[in-house]
Amino acid sequence: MEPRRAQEALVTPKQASTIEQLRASRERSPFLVVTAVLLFLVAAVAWMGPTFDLGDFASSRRADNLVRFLTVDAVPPVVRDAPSGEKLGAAFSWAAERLRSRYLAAAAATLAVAVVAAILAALFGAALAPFTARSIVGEASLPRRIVSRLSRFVCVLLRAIPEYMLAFLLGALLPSAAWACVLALAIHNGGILGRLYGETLENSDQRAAHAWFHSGAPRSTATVGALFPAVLPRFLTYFFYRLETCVRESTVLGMLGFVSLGHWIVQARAAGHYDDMLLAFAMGAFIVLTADLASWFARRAVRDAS
Amino acid sequence: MTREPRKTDSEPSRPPGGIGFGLQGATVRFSGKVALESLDLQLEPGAKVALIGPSGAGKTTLLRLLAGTAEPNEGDLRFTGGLSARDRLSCTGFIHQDHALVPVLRVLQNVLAGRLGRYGSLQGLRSVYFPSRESIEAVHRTLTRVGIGELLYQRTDRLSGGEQQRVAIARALYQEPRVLLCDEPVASLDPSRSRDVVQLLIELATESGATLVTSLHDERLAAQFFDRVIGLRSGRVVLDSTRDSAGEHPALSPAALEALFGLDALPGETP
Amino acid sequence: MPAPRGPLGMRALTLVIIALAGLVAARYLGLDLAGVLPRDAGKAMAADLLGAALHPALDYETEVPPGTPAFGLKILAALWQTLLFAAAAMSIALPLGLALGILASDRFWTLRTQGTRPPSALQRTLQIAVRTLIALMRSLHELLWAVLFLAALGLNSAAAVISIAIPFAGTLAKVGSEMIDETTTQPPRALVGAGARPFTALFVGVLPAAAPDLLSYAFYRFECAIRSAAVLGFFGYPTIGLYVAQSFENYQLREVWTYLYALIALVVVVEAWSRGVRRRLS
Repeated sequence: MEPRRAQEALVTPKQASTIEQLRASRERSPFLVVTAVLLFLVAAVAWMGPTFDLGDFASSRRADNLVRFLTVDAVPPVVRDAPSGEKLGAAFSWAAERLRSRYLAAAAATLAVAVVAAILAALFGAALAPFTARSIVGEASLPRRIVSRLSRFVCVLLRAIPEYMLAFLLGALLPSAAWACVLALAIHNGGILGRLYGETLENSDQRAAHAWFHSGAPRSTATVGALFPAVLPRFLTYFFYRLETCVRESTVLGMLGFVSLGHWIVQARAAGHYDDMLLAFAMGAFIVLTADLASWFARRAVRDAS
Repeated sequence: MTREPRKTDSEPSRPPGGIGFGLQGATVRFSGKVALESLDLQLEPGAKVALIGPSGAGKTTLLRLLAGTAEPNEGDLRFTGGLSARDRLSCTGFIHQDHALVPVLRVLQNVLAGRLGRYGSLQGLRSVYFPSRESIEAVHRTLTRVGIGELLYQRTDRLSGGEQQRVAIARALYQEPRVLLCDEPVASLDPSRSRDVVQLLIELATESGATLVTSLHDERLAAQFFDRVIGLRSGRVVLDSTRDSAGEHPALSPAALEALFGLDALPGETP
Repeated sequence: MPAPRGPLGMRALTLVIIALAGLVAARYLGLDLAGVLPRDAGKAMAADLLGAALHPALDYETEVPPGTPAFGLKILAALWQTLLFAAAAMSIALPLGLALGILASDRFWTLRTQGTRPPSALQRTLQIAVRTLIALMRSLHELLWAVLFLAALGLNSAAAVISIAIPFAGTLAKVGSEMIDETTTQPPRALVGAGARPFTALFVGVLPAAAPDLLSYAFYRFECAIRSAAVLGFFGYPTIGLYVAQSFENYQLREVWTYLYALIALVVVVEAWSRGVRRRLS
């Protein structure tokens, strides 16, 4: 913050400063400038260095691959073999059969993983929130700030490892692949929600909780009894945002072996059945869009109710 | 974001003098609700006019009508000077009640934005983000004129409310307006600072010969500084007072003010 | 509506629905508490993995062929590659996301009319088309885009970068358009009212006001891009995920942890940097 001038210009005549002096003393942030330059340099190195072979990307071999993929690989054999008038019908019955036999169940499993994981993450985040908040029910002492700093750091650690990598490691340890996916999502998103929920607590209206505290309730009781109900709408809003992310992530975690959409994608790719793979992609996009829409309605309902 | 100023480019200068307005039976409705009803009003070029009246009387709508940002649904609005629609906008300075400044930009950029009406899209961007040496000096002179020259390179959201208002005045002034319109410029100021601001507006308008129309909630301030005071109520002119030779506003009698602001409904008005 | 519409009733109902959905989902997946803990072979591996966490490898665990770069250098190179993939992806996602975000926002389409008239049918159609495009870009996870490009083009780093850039541009556009619509309407209206072109009013009156939030969010997405780039290693790209997967398959668990710690350190540094950026922007 700039030091505010004590009086306004009209009252005290200001001595005339030259434009150069004013310009030299303007508020600047070398940190932001350095950050921008560094990021720009890294991006420039990335594109101009040897990492990305743009010539190869635009080569005719890639173009041939793409053409073959679109015209041959991506077309189901039953559609290719069908007479020209019946191609659409053949494609439709092929897709319906695949959906019935595999993808509906896989989509349900994908959604189920996301729902359980988001709920666990929210519980986890709510448990972390009283620690990550910088001030709570009037307390902002030094130990409190240290606890907050430390627990925020823990939150960063929890979210630092990508869900996919966590699921990969947990999948090797746990007997249940479903639990590996659920826990991976819950740990990562729990770290994110712990931080967000803590910020919500410290920015919330804490008057009711103060009243409880001053009438003799322990701080923890005041927090859970008076503060959590007040911040519930915000908590729910964040929960639904994370649920969207969980559904998106959940579509790929199956690639590690759990029988959900990702699993069928890997299977189809390994067998070279790209038609099957694209159908699974479409199913994944469909449940992600549906979840986004449902979450949008839920967030609006929560907002309108509060 | 300010770069080394460039020394080229000269800005076109404006023909001086105010613009006059004539309203005949002007009616403005917003979603069915009448904001101004069949208004007849003549404003001379260079006039200094204060609009008073209770809130919701149509003062802001009248100002927007004069600014060209609202059109009458019925009736007629004429103005002198034979200007195109865009020229009319670019020589109308409007000081908004909430200042309407861009918070993150520096004061310099906010004031420079006043002249965007003179440029095309890209030229306008250049004029704000890569200003010439001359325009920076012109902005500094304008800011010094309103008493805040030293704030040239400050971020606008770091300023106090009073300072921000002066930036808004400077932006309107930098436009070199032929009409200066102000919506409740002193609504949030204490009495002594209110007088200073109104005095400044009158001085600035007098220097350039611009027509000045400002809405005020304080009728004493209006009577003290303005040659003409117009009272609006429920979208109609119920009072139009001109200063007499003794410098008084005889039409602003207690009875007339009671009729303007009073709680009793006027004939034909729904309470 | 006949049901009581007290705020608590609505919230309680939401909570009950969420809880029920959770129970149904858990039953469908056959989750039981026993599944949370490792069993049999997993038990031994968990013990090995936890033990390795305390003693991350400081050098290769096994003999390496001559000519292999030093362990530390290999880690730094892997982190650098991860950073390059993320930066390259963001350098596409940011301008693309910003442009789409502007076109998807309500503010952009009402600049000219000042909100006095609703946008025309053509404008509405364009806006909806952009929003649909954004939703489609976001609807596939970046790894699915990567698999799609692998299938359609073959292994290519530029394709990997584009596969991150597509959903990230979509997300930046969605969040960006919301941030643009949250800025105050008065400054651009005042500028258009003073004769400014709508295009100029957008760049002078709207975007600067949204810039602090936009840049903070973009920095957070950069952190996410680093994680996504790391995971791309699992698909054969030379980012840090490749070495995590390789070491794990060779059961060199101490090396796995070294790579994980390196990734965590990178994310922590970027997060701290991002905090510095946010503080200075506000």
